[in-house]
Amino acid sequence: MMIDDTVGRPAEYPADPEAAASTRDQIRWMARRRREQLAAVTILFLGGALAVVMVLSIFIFVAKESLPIFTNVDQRNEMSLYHDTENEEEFERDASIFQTLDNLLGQPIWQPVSDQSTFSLWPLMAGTFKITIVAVVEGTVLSFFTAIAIAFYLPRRMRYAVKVITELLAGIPSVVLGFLGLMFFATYFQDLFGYPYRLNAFLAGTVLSLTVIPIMTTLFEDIYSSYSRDQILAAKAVGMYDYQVIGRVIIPATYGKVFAAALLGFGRCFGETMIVLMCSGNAAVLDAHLTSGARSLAATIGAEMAEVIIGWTHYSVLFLLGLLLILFTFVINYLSQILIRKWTYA
Amino acid sequence: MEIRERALQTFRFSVVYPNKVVGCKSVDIVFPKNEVTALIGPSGCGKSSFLKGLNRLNDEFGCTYTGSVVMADGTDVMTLDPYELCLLRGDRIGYVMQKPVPFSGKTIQQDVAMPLLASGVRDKRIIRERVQRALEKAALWDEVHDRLDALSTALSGGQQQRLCIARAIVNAPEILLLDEPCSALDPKSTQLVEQLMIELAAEHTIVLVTHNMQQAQRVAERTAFFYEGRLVEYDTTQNMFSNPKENLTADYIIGKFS
Amino acid sequence: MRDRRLLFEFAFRAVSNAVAMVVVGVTLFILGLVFVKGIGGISFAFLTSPPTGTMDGGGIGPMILGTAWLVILMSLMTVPLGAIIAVYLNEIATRNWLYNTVMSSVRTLAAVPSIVFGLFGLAFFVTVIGGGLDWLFGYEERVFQERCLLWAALTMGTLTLPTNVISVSEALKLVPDEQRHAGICLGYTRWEVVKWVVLPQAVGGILTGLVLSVSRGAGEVAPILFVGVAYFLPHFTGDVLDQFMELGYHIYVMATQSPNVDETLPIQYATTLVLLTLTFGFNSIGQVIRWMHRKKMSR
Ligand SMILES: Nc1ncnc2c1ncn2[C@@H]1O[C@H](COP(=O)(O)OP(=O)(O)O)[C@@H](O)[C@H]1O
Ligand SMILES: [Mg+2]
Repeated sequence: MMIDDTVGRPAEYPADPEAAASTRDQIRWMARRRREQLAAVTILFLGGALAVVMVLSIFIFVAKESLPIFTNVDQRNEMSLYHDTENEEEFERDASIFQTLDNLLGQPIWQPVSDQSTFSLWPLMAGTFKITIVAVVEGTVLSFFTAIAIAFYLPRRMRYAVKVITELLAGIPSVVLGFLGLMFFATYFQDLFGYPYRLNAFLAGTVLSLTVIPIMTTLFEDIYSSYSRDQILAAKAVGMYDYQVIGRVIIPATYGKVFAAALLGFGRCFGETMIVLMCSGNAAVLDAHLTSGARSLAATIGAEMAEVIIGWTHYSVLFLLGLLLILFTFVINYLSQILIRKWTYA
Repeated sequence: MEIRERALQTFRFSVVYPNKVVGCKSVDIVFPKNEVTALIGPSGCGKSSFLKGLNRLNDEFGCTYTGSVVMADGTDVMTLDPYELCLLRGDRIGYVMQKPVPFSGKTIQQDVAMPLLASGVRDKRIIRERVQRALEKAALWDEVHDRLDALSTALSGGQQQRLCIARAIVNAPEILLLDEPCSALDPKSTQLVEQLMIELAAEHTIVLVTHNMQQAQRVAERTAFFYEGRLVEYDTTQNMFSNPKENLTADYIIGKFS
Repeated sequence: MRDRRLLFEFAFRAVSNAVAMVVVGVTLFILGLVFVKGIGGISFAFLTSPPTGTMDGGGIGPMILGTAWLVILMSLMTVPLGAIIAVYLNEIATRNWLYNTVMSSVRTLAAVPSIVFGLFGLAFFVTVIGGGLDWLFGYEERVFQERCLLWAALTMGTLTLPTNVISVSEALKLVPDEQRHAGICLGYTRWEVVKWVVLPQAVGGILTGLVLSVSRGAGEVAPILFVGVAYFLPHFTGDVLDQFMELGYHIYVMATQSPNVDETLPIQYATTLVLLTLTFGFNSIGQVIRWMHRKKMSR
């Protein structure tokens, strides 16, 4: 593979055998480089393709496992609400898709392990929504003021420290936050606010907001810091105070981006499992009280999946919940992409 | 203007950027062997586009070409497949950029030996020898021979540019393309590099892009004047600056526009 | 009039700064709380010995080993694959629909909730791949089609893939184009430019990705809840086809399912401190490497 040291290449095909050998070496060497390039590009391309395949197969395999409640007649029978356990024989053996849908959407109770299993999606969706709303509202408000403080008010030296410490929060695993919520904050919150249940949607949402604060603060801070200095100075030149500049100039100019950031935070929250599992009380109730227990989609999967028998109705329903989470993710991601694009180029 | 031996020749050579901007348009030019040819012209006239077309570096910007660029042995650069192109760039055409580009994280020795990686030279002794020869030719050996293991990025700007020249000639290419090699250098380094180009012309055909007319006069035997992507005039440097044939050239030389 | 505006200004400033201080305070409080309550339970014996009884005594040795194995196996999958995808996106692909598809796949992967990866692990790695391997080797009983360390690691690897892709991409973007062009002028093929010019300069990014994904992988529990983690398995076997105990899951189990939660509280805090030190430590190391690499490249 070695090439002889000829400086000043012969213009014609070399006549002497030594040089001819060197040319042959050169051709062989180039062939090897070509093979290496082809192999490398193929592998890199396959890697890229694998990323696509992964996303697709996440969707496909989660969907595939959830399908039997619609397609498998045994599971449909199982889902059928009028399942009479005492007269198995007389029971109608070919329940339709509508009976599955009726079980999922037509009644309000989530009670998977009983004679008549009921799988209402409503309490889970309500629980997810309650917890997420609490988390996003608290997260947005706290992040908003923190970002404003970092961008405008804090002394220069503290800005960096506050930024770094806020980002440290992102390095705390959610199971640790959930643990502290359950073991420490739950009791103090109950003493402080005096609500009836120790574990509830409000507690879970509050702890959950800690996971979005680092992300949102960074996003907000970017938005405010990148806002044109000249505009701010111009506003100050006409005698506005900082809060007026923020309220009348910056917020109106950036609320779209802020909304997109909040939406991203929402996307982060609704699928979070461990915190909700440990802090929400996991009661599948269908109400609008923030201080009652709540059971989210993700936490339900986390709590129940380890105990189900693979391939049975309950298993399939849990996969259906996962499918819902994926679809929510797609929708929210898509919306925030659109929003970001719209507000970036508007 | 008579030319004894041709090193490189273009026929109706055009370079078009993907955004339909024309880099250079229908250029016919012959570069004589072992001479320095300067390309001058106002900024944005397409000198660099033309030069990057010669070794098809412009492929990287998604350019398309028409016409042809022919080497001394009849190879048409525009028809080469990607691998032949790699061989051409590695062995037959050296290129030096405007800003010195040492490879970051490489020592001086490694940096100059980078082209040898691609040519498959493995023997440590031969590598050392050829690096030394290239550095000597690039008038850098005396300054760096005792610190070949220092990082190449630690050199001064002028030294870095000479390092890049050494790197470009380590495989002894027939042709050396230089795109404003002195524009980022101080006057002292500029003088060194100019001297170097004159010396290198003994073994290499040099195409030098410059916006500095004094430099062209000091270094080049022939000069080509580009304007808005076209080759306006091509002559010996002497003729070009003493009695230009085109009004445009005359205007440019006396500094009516730049 | 002027007074009211001054008052508003003062109030707004006070509220903003106070909220920032609250956020900072809560962060530091959480770290401090875990440290103060956990440090008492830490000892060499605690870190190395197995749990005893109904997990109301003993140590967390097998959990640490399980977590370590999990992140090592995970890294073996996710770091090379992440680098490959990042190199494909930044160095090879032209900006066409294919590029966009891969790009948005990585983004989607980053946004999918972690519990969904668990479902994927169960439905794909355990059932399809594991079942397929059993069929391939002709095993009668289930060997591969079991919830185990191997599939948990692959699941976690899928989860941390975007972290790696993003870290490496960031590092590749810091390499100036001139370096690539210089390589091309030397006659390098595209792959040789990557191999000899670009990748050596992106090592910092690959390292950042590794360390950050280790931090993330050690901290996430949701994806492995039902893909191989064991409730109680006092001796770590080291077999990748066995179930294993894991720190984060252990905290969850002890806090929610242990028969005497209050008595074991010191153990729980100590375990939490260990986990936090691991994830937090790796996260901080990752940030420092990233910062140093950026500084080095911007010189
Ligand atoms: N990467 C590029 N993409 C599109 N147009 C370019 C690019 N580089 C240069 N151009 C255009 O090509 C023309 C010639 O530029 P260039 O060759 O760099 O001029 P010179 O080197 O003589 O200053 C200019 O109009 C310039 O705008
Ligand atoms: Mg130029």
